[in-house]
Amino acid sequence: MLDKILRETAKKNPDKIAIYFADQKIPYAQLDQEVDNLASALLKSGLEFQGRVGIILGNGPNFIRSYFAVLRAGGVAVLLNPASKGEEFKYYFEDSGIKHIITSVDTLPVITGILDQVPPIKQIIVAGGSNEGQYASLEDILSTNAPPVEIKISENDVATCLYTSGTTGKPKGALLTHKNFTFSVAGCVSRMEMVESDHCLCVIPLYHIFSLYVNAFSPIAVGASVTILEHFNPAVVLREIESKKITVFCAVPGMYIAMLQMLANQESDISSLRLCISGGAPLPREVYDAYLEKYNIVLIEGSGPTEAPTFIGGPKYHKLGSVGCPIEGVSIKIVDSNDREVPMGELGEVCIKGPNVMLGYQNQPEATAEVIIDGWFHTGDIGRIDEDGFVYLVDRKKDMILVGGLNVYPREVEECLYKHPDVYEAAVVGIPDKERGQIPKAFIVLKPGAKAEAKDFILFCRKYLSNYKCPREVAFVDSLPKTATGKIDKTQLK
Amino acid sequence: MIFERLKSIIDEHFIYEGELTPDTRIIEDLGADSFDIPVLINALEDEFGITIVTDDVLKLKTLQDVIDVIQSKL
Repeated sequence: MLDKILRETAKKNPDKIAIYFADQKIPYAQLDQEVDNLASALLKSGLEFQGRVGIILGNGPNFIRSYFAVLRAGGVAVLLNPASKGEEFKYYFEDSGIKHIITSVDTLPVITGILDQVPPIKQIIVAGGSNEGQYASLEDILSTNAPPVEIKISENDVATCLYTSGTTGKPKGALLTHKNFTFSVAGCVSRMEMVESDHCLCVIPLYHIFSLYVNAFSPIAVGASVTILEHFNPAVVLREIESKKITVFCAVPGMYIAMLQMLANQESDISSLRLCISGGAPLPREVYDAYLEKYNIVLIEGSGPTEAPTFIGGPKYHKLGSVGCPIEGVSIKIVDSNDREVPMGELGEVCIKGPNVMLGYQNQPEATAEVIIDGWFHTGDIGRIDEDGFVYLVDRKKDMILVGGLNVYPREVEECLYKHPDVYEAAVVGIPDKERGQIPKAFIVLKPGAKAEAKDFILFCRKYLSNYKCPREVAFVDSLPKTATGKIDKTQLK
Repeated sequence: MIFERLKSIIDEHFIYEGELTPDTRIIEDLGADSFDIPVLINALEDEFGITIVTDDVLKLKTLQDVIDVIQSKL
């Protein structure tokens, strides 16, 4: 069902370039045929309806081919980070019930290293190199000429299993249906005002929900083009924006910060950009201001946890500091710790209800029941709604610091630190304290040449924040640990 | 003398800007929260061999207030 967006676009615009990657230019008709070829190969190898297929690929056209092929064949795409370790793959394979794998020659050794420790895999398809005939070659499959694959799929069938970050306990596989996606893609396209003439630049890993929506589904749904980069490199990004006249760009705040640094040292024409979305983590106000003042670019924040993809920001739905308002058909409420709705404007946990909410977590009915109550998905984000229905996210519930019984939101402290001219990046976490229970500790990456000391930042924060919110310890680091998707990984700082 | 000894205690427990003076405010200038006060009181009691009671604590807004309390106990 979701794969229909590709089929329909290929019929309308067969010769339009869907994907640019390195020196490749892949038209929609070719992409659609390759998806049929791969879907056919999966079915011939015994892919059952709703069977799980692990897509373990980095950014590139093969990811998109594989994803749509699995959908078209009636399977469930399990999207995994190719940089995962053997033990992690073992968990994912066992938990999701993967029987087919599409991966690259680079990742293959890690996977084959654990094959004798997981339930039998029916088929491994490998991209990018010789594996001496032991496994099927993706390139060979793509160059076959299979007839169109038409499997009857209903909107409530599962399309994708996406594992959450799993910062507490093991990652949980969020099961998203075709309806979840088709509903949210329509909302995404509408909010982003995506049109055929748009050209997106994809730097965020495609196995992340944010990237899937803005760099794959949305452009394909309207017949736009996407240039895919394998990795984020600010210099390359700026070069591509200029040379390809990129119109839509989505990134995490850390990437926008790195690009700002680069823009300060080299001239780049980024005037083609009409829409820049920041997601995956809170956007520091200073970064927003810098793009607006220096480049007249409005960075719009988006949101939407893996479990309930809710793109709620957009050019006409933007207020500074807000992630926007819910797309039509999605409701949001804010609740207190007793699950009671709080008055407008007050802080509480953000809850989402609508056709975008996942079916549940793979193999975890209790965990599902904890977060989906009467159809409301409890996000674990703390936020508030204003009188116009705009949502402001304050922090993650689990990241909140309790200082002597008083709540401190790390984001508030981080926003304060970002005001300091010497701060390049900052993260605040709670650490144990004998008297207070917890105290805020700041990890700071200084700008090149900066010489500020720990004391300077503590005193700086005191100008803006109540004493209990101010960091009591400051550590300087060369870089902040990040997840594969570019978010600051606070679990490594605690 | 009292001020110099007090300054050593403050330097050990607090971060502040500029120089300490008798007008330095404990909360606003030293950044103290409610958990710092008991720690400060313990340090003062140990340093000066005095006992500071709750009523005394409630008076402590500036370092001059601290000096006054210490002097009243010596």
